[in-house]
Amino acid sequence: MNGLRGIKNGHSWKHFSKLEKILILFTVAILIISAYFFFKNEKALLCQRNIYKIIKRDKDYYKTSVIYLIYNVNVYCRPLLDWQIYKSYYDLRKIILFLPDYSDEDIQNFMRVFNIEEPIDIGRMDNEWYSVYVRCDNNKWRANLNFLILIINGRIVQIKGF
Amino acid sequence: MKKILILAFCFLPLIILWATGAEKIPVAELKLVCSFPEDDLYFGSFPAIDIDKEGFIYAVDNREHTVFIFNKEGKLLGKFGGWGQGPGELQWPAKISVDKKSGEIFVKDNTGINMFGPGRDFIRRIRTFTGILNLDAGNGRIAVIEPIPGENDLIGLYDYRGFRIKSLGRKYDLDYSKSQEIPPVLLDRMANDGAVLLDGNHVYYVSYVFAEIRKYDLSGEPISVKKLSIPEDIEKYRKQYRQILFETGVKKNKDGTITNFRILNDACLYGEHIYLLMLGYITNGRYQIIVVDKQSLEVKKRMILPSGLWPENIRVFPSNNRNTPLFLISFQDQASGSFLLGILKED
Repeated sequence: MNGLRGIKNGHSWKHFSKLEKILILFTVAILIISAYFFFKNEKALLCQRNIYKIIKRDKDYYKTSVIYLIYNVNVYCRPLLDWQIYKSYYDLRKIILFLPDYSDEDIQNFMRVFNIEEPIDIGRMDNEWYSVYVRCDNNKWRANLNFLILIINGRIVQIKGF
Repeated sequence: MKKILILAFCFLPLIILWATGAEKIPVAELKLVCSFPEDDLYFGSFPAIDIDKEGFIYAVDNREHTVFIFNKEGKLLGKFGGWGQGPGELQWPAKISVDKKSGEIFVKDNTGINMFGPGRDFIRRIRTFTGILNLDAGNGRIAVIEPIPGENDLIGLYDYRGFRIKSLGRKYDLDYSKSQEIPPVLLDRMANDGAVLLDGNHVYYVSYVFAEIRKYDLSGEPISVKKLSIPEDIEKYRKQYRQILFETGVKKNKDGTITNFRILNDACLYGEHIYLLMLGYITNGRYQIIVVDKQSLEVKKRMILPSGLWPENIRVFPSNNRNTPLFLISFQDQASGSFLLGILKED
């Protein structure tokens, strides 16, 4: 309270006791850290909320599925994350969506190089999925990521950028 | 009688040479006519290069993510690309090929092959998903070296839309278990490092590691294979690299880096010849350009580069005197360490 009074009365920083100074600095640090995690979480939640908006509209289709949002992958240094695991789950719907500018030839090349065979749902992101991608891809490194979204019984279990 | 015998003895080696069909390969010295850029432009590494039919020089700066255009006098005329993922932007571009007839420009970067029109307008991005090693474009086809794990084919032949027409050539057959420190994908890239060259009827694969040229027709049928046999020491290096890659296995250096094994640095087609850029340590000193006839794959000439240059890439283009072409190289200047472009001609 002395501290607060000090601020109110226009006392300078040196009038606070050592303990008061430590308490104030500690409080400020806690606030900053909380704000950081809040906004970080909020960003992740925003990405998740947008995905939920789409999958809720077609619950049965997305109920148990793995969705890949692909910006750029290659067998040399940026492989398709966890594909080797998920491809063998036959009751898991596999959906691969590419950026809208992928051509049919690009998609054919992708399937050949990654040795992907039917049955999977493959195509380009529509406007809605693309805006989800952009929201999820909003990172401080300005890196363009691919995303893996795992949905079990209508709940998003995992969103991984790679 | 004695005189005749002496004369016959003198001519004997010549007669033997003629009889065995041995042919002395001519050697020429090259001199540096000019080097550029001179202004405020500094390349961060060896630029990949190519030349269009008008003689404009395209140099790809990997660090600047940009393609610079020069005329033959070294004057900077323009640039395109720049860091980004949007249409016409580039990410770590590493190779370039210009269709000599249509003028279309193909730049390989991290995302695939970016196609630009003759006016440098962006046309499309072809995604390849393979981390391609090298490319050449012409006559509506793009040939790329893409060793894919699990596949035996080495070269992919695409049309300008990115449709894969054909695959051809075979990867070197490696036993990955011998090089346990190196991932198979990287090992494939090391062993198959090379150039792919396209003319109207054939595809040539030049192995940088084993200095071997393989010639295919456009249907993918192998036509011929030739191993370079000059200089004398070449077989020693070939054997050494073969032993490491196929028998003892590749190991990382103490600092975690991996040594690349190479005899050649680059190759290009011009007229009736293939020009190979041979590393200096193979020839005990200076870098050389080996000229190979593209029909027979026989060596026709050797050209020795000036000392003080570490060249990485080579292209050939016509001079005013059509019989003696000029050579464009990207190189590091030994004295200053700068990465430059240079034009060489026969001394």
